[in-house]
Amino acid sequence: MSPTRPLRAAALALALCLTPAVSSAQNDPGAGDRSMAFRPVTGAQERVPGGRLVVTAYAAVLLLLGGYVAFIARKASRLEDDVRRLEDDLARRAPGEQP
Amino acid sequence: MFFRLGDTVRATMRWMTVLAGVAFALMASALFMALDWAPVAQEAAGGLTQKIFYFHVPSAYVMYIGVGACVLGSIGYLAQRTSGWDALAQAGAEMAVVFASIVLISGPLWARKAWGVYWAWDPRLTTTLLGTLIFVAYLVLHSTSQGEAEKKFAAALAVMGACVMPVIHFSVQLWRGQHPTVITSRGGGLAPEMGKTLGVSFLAFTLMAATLLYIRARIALGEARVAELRTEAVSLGLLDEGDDA
Repeated sequence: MSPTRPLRAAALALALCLTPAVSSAQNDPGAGDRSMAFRPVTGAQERVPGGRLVVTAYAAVLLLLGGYVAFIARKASRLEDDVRRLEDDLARRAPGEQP
Repeated sequence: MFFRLGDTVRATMRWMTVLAGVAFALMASALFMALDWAPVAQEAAGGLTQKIFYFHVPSAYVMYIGVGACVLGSIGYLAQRTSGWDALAQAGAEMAVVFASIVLISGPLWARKAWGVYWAWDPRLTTTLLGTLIFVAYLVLHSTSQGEAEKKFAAALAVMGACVMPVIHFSVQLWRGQHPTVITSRGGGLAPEMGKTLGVSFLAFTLMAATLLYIRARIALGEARVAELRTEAVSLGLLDEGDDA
């Protein structure tokens, strides 16, 4: 099997995922106290200040994403080192030296 | 062969840098739109903290994509036992856990204002936590696996664990709970500016998910190939076992 086949399959799955994730109807007439719609308001007085919560949430999101990108970058750099080391190890062994 | 592997990884990284750049630009736009352009929602929805919604929901969506990739890779691995499928499953699980963590951190911060508490044992919250723990277990099991048996077990865990995903998705319909349900099939749950901001955010997260998934899977595949080649070189007598770094 071609090593890129799973990745192509993943791309297809990703495309299929794009539509239904957002849809999914939720028309429950007895929804009670759940929030069914977000309406814009102007000049509202906040009983509990939400600014700090928003900043904390977005900082956490960016921190987690940045951390994961840094983790991937470190993995990529380590992989390059491993490939280079393997090449060096093989180059060091001249054909005549094989046991 | 060794040179080709390295070159492929480097070429992929260059191509992916462009995609990552576009994703980053869209992410910056989504951030600006969410924090500055989109209006503040009513107090019952959390007021200012409702703005968390624009990154919270797309993160949940990327979590589903990650789980989907992990399940696809796991099924492929169980069927064919190749490192490509295993790499895809590993990348998907990592992505699912990272984005589920974002959901589980940002959600309670929003809930603190909207519900008055950080955490409630609401069906959606509880099932999301359960799903996240299953994929954390998968990653722990996968990272400690030393042979095919453990990898097969991890793959089976991922496939069975994914059964919780429809439960997460439909939990608000099945058991009600407190979780908001504004994205309906008929639309109308969001003001137009809010809908546009959410759309840009979805686009940014989709591109970012595709980029991260591809790069991470390629790296995992590269790691597996290097390990296989080193083992092969040792078995052919081209390297000593002690040469293993």
